[in-house]
Amino acid sequence: MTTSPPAGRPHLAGAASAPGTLDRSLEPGQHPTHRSAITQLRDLEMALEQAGEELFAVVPFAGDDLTGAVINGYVDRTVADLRNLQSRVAQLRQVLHLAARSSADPSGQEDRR
Amino acid sequence: MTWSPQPERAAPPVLGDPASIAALSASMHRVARLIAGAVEAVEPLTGPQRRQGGELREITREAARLVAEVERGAEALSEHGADLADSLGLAHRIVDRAAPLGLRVDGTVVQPAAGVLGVADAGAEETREQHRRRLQRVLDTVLIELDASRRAVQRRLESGRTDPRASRRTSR
Repeated sequence: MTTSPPAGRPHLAGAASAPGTLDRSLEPGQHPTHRSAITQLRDLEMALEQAGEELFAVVPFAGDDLTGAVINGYVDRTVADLRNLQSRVAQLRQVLHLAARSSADPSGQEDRR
Repeated sequence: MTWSPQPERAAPPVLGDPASIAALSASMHRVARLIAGAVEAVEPLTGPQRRQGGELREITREAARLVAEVERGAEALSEHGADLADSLGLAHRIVDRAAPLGLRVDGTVVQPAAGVLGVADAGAEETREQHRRRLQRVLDTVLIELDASRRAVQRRLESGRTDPRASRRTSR
């Protein structure tokens, strides 16, 4: 995992909500952006999962074997890419979750309990 | 009316289901919009999470690549679905035109229908042969155009893909 500082999003500009929005369900000591970033990543994860399921649900009949195989192969590879990305998002979400927990409990007492 | 037993069911000249291909194309457009919307809602990491900013940028870059690729694939499938629908319609018309002329379309071949069709007449036979050649030419054109469309969609679906691991390696 890279550790370079963020320099804004390279693609898909135009966020749905303003950055740094306070999440009112934060726990004491938690950084305001932690929870919202985790929630956003969870939403992205779910979108990727839903996308994969939707693509697999449609069964095209191309009419000839070669075209059918190419289309099916394309869908399979796309779904594999979606799942790969989904697992990366899940991993990042988990890292952020752990970081949020440790910043809320810097002494590590929670872990020792 | 023929006095001999009915021939076996002829194979259709064109196979395929344009509706299912259009459905896949529509699903792909929907999926692309879904992912693009979810990625747009993800804000850059700030505060202590900035250390993970690089990974988040890579994820959004990969998601943008996937969205573009799925959109391109959807477009290719949509165009091929329209071509397939046209070919099916034209092939259906050729089959319909062949029957009253005493001809039969079996797969990709237009041939004289089996059985006794009427009184033996050299002139009628010649006319029927002319009709057969003409319909065969039209059917060949339809099949060639469909083949070109199939090759095009195969090429576009295969060439539009890039190895995500390769793009990950180059972005680092």
